[in-house]
Amino acid sequence: MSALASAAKYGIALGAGFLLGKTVADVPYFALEREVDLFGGWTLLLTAVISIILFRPFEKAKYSDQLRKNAVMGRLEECLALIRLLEELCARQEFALPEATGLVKRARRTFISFVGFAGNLGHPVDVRLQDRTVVSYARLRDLLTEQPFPDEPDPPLLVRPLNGVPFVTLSKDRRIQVELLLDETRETLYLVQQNVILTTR
Amino acid sequence: MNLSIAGAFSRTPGARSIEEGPFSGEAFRRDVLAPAVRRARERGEALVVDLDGTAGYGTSFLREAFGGLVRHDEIPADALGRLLVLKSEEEPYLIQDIASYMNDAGPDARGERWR
Repeated sequence: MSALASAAKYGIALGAGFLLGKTVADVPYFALEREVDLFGGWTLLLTAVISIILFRPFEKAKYSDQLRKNAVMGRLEECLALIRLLEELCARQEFALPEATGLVKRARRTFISFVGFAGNLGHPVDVRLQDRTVVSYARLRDLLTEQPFPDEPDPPLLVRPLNGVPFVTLSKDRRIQVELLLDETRETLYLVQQNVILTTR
Repeated sequence: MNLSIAGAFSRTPGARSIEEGPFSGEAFRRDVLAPAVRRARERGEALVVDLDGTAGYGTSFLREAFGGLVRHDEIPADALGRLLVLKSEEEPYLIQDIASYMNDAGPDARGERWR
């Protein structure tokens, strides 16, 4: 059915083109040249062919660059998704310690993997932004899992066993510290994203 | 000698101390790591500790497990530096972290129990 519809569309277009041409030719103001200028015809054809040959690589390069950028952005989105999961974890009253260590490990490894991927596709991540992000993940692990000494007053982090699993409770101040750090890390990833968008190979 | 934390101890390392829950750094050091370090020393071999295969490590687990070798078992940090080889493909940055925990724990440990 769609083949029939396409054929009908082309048929209508051709017919309309023919009718328009005939109408223009019949207008007394226009005189139709019945001799064919071969040189002019070849020039026109050659110009069309050369234009296609010259511009095709540019179009292809632009399309490839867009594909690369989309792939890099997709991987960066994975890093941002892990930041969101860490925010959700931090927002809870308490959370399982292995869940926190697992998320931080995944976030760090995903970012390192993203840096290699982006570099291979021609969008290297600025070294300063890399260092800043890696340091943030290291700090995040400390804030979420480093326990104070037992006799410390007002500990920022407490661990107690619950159903055979160590559970972490953060103090309000510690939670705020973690949230701020996650905000900073996200902003750094947005800067990386901006660089990817603005860079052309 | 090889020691895989995930294989020999747990895929989900826990908190610092035994009373805080299972698979703690204290339990790992006491029951697995310190005995392995002593056996390696007796055999005159290096102990290769593989950090991969777990769900991740808390800072306090690592401090207690490795720093604790210096603090509690009184093994000098420089002796550990010669004996222990840390390995990780998943998280290579952990190697430097653990080295700093062992150095922070007291590079001047007398090592009386070690001799």
